[in-house]
Amino acid sequence: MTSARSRDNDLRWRIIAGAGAVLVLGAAVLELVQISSPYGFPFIGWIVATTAGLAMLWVGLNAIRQDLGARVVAAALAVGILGMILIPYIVVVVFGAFQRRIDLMTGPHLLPPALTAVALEQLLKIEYFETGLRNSLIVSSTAAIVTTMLGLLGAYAIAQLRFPGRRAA
Amino acid sequence: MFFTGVPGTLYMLTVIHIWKTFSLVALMLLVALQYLPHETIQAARIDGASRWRRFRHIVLPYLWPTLVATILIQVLVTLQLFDLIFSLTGGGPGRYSTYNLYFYTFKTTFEQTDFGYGSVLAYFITGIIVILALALTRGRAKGMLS
Repeated sequence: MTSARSRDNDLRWRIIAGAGAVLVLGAAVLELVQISSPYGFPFIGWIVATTAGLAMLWVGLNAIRQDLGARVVAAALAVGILGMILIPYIVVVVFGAFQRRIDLMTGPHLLPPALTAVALEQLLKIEYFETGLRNSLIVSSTAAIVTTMLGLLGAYAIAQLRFPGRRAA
Repeated sequence: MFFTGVPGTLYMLTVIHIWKTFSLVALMLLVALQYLPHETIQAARIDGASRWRRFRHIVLPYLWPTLVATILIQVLVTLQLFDLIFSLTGGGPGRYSTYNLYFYTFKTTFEQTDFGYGSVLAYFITGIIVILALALTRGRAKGMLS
């Protein structure tokens, strides 16, 4: 009798955890709709459904095995945060370098519609790149050397020499 | 006026950047100087070494790792110089005289909306920064820092 009740309980928690996982995955698919939707409801729906799904996953898995829910939810959050950091970088910078200008201007594409190396070929052809590179090198090398020399003299004076007001410095 | 003309503005920007970052560098070196081997310096003084010789043969070799790290960090920070150019010159006088790579990337990407070329420039800058950062942590720096 007790064993049957325990099994029912276990099944209930498994269903809750499974529903939570489905909710989280469904919300991720819903968020993909946002790309082509002019309205903001998929994003709001994604936040609500993900929060609810993660809470159900947490409670359900924790009931089945101690701390399992906490660990799974923490891992899911970690993957989600990593995705939030990497996906914009990959879409804009990594794919952006190999996309045609028209594709970049006509809306976000998770995968580039056509690949091109035009931007890479441009790199050395545009004269302003040379100006920018030269200015960068001039400023960074001058600043690094002069700042270090001045900094060394200043720091050495404060650390080694005796003069009025040294303690204040 | 040289300093408000086309070549002088870049040097004035450099001077302002040096003034802005000098205190941080001095602070880093000051911390390193707190850990100098005072016994060795005292022994050199007793042996009759002048202040310059003590600095040249004891202090400078001891500070060398910190100096290398400081120079590399300063190069990294200066390569990413943007705020001064944006707020003081806007890339001018003329159209491109004080552009650096970072500012050029910003202009290309967000004002000319050439995201593809901007991405390639971002790759290029990232490459330089990664190489310098690797030099700072290992590789060549190993030899310089040891």
